[in-house]
Amino acid sequence: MSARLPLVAGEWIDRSKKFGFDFESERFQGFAGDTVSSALLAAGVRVLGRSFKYHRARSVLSMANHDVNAMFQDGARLNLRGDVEPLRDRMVLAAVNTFGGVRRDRARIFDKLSAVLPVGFYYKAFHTPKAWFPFWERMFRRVTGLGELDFSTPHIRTPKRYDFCDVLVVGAGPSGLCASLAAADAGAKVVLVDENARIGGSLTYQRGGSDDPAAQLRNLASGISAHPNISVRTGTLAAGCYADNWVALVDAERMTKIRARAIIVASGVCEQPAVFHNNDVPGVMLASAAQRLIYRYAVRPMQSAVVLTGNQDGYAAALDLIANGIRVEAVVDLRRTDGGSAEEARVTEAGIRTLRGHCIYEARASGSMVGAAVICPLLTGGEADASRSETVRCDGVLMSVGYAPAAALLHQAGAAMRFDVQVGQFVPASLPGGVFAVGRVNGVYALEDRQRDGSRAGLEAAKYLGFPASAAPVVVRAAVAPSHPYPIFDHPQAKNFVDFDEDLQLKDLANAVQEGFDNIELLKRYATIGMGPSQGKHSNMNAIRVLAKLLGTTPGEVGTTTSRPFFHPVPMSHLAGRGFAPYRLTPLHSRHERAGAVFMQAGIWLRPEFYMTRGKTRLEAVREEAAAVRTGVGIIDVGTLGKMEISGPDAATFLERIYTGRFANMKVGMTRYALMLDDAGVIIDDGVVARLGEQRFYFTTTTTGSANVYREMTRLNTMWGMEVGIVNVTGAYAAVNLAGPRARDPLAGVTNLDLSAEAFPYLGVREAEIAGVPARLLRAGFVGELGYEIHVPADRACALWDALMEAGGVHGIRPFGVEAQRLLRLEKGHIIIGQDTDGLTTPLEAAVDWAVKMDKPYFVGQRSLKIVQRKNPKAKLVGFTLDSATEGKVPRECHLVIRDGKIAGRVTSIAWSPAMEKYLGLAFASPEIIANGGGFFIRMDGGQMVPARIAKTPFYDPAGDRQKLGA
Amino acid sequence: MPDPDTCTDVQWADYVFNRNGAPGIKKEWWLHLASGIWFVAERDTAADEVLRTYLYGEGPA
Repeated sequence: MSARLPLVAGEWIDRSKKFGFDFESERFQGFAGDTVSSALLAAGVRVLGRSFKYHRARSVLSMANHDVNAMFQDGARLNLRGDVEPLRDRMVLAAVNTFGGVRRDRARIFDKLSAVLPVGFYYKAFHTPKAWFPFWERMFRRVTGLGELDFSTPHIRTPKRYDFCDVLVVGAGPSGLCASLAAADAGAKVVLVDENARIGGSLTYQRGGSDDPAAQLRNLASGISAHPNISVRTGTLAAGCYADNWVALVDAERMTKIRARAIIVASGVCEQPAVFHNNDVPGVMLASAAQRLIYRYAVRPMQSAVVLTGNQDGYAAALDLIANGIRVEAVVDLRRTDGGSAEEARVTEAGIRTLRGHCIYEARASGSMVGAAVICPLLTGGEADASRSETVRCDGVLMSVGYAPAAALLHQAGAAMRFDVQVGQFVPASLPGGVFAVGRVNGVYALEDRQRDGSRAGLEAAKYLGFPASAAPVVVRAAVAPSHPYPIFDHPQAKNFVDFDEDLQLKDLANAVQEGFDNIELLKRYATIGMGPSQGKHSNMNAIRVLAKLLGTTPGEVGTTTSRPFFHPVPMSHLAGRGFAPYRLTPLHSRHERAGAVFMQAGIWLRPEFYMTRGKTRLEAVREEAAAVRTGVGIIDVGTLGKMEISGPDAATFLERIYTGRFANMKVGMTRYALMLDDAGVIIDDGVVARLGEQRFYFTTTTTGSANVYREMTRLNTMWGMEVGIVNVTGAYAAVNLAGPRARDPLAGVTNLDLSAEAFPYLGVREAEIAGVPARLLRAGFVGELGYEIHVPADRACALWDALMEAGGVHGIRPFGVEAQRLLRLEKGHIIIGQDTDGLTTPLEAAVDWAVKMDKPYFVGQRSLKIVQRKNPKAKLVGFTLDSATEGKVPRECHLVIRDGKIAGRVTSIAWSPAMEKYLGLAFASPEIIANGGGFFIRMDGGQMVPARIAKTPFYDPAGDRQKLGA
Repeated sequence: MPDPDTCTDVQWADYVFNRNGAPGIKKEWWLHLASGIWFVAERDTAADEVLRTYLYGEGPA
């Protein structure tokens, strides 16, 4: 049977646009402007979903974006909230969290089992026996959760938007509209957001059977739309407030990050349910839900209603029902006396039965719907007198017992809240500068007072921003509390729900408190109250009341839970957005591509891992590249190294303070290895320092460390105030390493520089032209062969590369990648910072103490090393080899070193050495291993143990003759 | 930084390893990346409020 009302003035639906849709294999029709829930209710469907735990039939509760028991799946879109999700043509919908559909959900058996599923049962019941846990885990994963994730859902790229405004007004109800107008009139640029499809807030639905609110809204709306300073964004939720008034605005398409100079929070309140037996049966709803259904969607929520109230708004709702042809069987008022409002007088005039000092003790179900309300008088303590009950037939129950402020944004902005007994709710006690609260979230309830409060805050915000404005800071809060202090009634059969998300009953909270979880934050976590999808919007306030009563204290003493952003669930796609991972290419990238390089990430750079050759595997290619360096000549792009210049009278002293080595005594034209520590004596970087002049040095850092090293050097010199200039030239220079026994041959053809060992010895540095390109040449030995590291201006890199490749053609020159270089340096036992060291490794452990000059007056990390020196190292980096006979699986980096069945270190590098014809590597080994012959085991992934033995490094060319080559 | 030549091991370890992260007024190093200028900011981390900023060595004694 259709529940659609005839035309309702101001309705949000467009009756000229009909949308057909499916719900669980049945065909329905709704209108544009409908939500999923309103369209289903209008079509006569009254059970919209199943509850999370007990799978009880549920329907509309709030129509205000927290109906989490009426959630739907539409293809890949899941957990759509029917109360706000706009209906679209040809939707194919199903309720989430059912086994076999919403009407015959097989899991409804859980409702009967509820007595054996007490609060916190899963914390207690499933620990033992441990072996059973996988069984329980599988079961819980099957029965819990809401919508079903479709893993083939296409990746949705969601752009983000950035915005700015003078004043952001959150909430377009009467107070927010007035605030916007006042601020905009004073000259401020205003952005007004509201989560609803249209502006107006309570003016659109809380009408009390009168046309006045609609007329007032028309009046305000025309002022808003005509104002050049106001930008209105409906369907937009202010989901979180961060530092410096950075607010996340979420709409259907995207997230907008808006920075507001001032924020006016006019977010209103969330109406709160009463707690009585069966308060969740379909047909029982908040008064405001019924009003929204009528005035926004022209849906008749019921035929005949009982209204439970604790304020004048319940009477207004009763008048709204009557005005739209719905029978009101009775108004049940928790208060004992007439509140004296006009609405109450009009309800009496209309001849509606009013029971004061009564409550609804339970709702009776008829089928899956409410069929009657059981009404009891209240005892003096506020409990129901169940012995004197009266049953009133109805097919709908309205609850109008109070409100909780939607204060999440205020909390996040840093507001302090206090419980105002007169208003019966939390109100702001103090607000940070530039943040204002207006209307019902501020405890202001009378319509005229809310409008005045809005204008007041609009002017205050404008004044705060320096616009000419002044306002009398008068706030008139509700004189009579709109919220009942305890609309909660115990019942022997329970099923009186405090939290509809998690199916928490009154007794669950009492049990949790009895078990000692008697602080609101503990109660929340143990009972999971307010932790469901609605995030406590309808349950936190009642939980606070229950806890206060159990502890014999006040809601103000109990306090609220922390309100973290986001205030409302936000789709992951909105947050994920586009990936943005910038990386750098060296100037030689095009040459690597042409040579078939396979690239890898090294820090933020892309570097050739190896060069692919047709018909060769990766391993074969790497070994051939290594062989070229060992027997002929190879070339590698090392332009990703950090490159710095330092000059000035204090340059040498500065280097001696930041590095462990000695540089003051270094001759011009020479280079030296440099090791950098942090204050704890841990190795953080290494490189080579070249002396170009008495007061001028050029030095390198690791690829990943350059930015950090440069930054830290500038910071240290801010304190030290030494006379040096430091320039980071990493991007300005390119560099290659030409290495191999025949490295001299291609170079000799393209430079006039005397390359003889006497004129340019090992560890020397020279400046010269190579193929017409000005270059710095460093004789380096990282890969253990004769080598020239050639640094040139970045824009000349390709010219240098091409010249060397051409000159080296007859010598069999071959480019090699990072992987071959790692193997070559490992054969030499050279460490890589970050691979062979970690965040705790000192030079003593890494066996590079030869590079540390402890007798210097000061260097970073020296004081800590003095302490470390006096202690026995836990492990030392050593070289090791496996028996060359090792077959099949071999150990990998990070596999554990084992001695006597105990962990005694780990492998940091390992590779097959073609030159040595065995597996060799570096590992941290305990002093016991070193002192006892050097034998140990390496435990691999599968648990197999591989024997290994410490070996002296360098493995290859121990005397270093090859890299020195006569120098 | 304590004087590394005269301080005890305990004093030095305290300087290197112990940081008080409790909300309150902190002295922090800040870097203006565009100009490469380091400065000191005194910030109330509880209120996320910058109280004052100054160049190293030019601050209040």
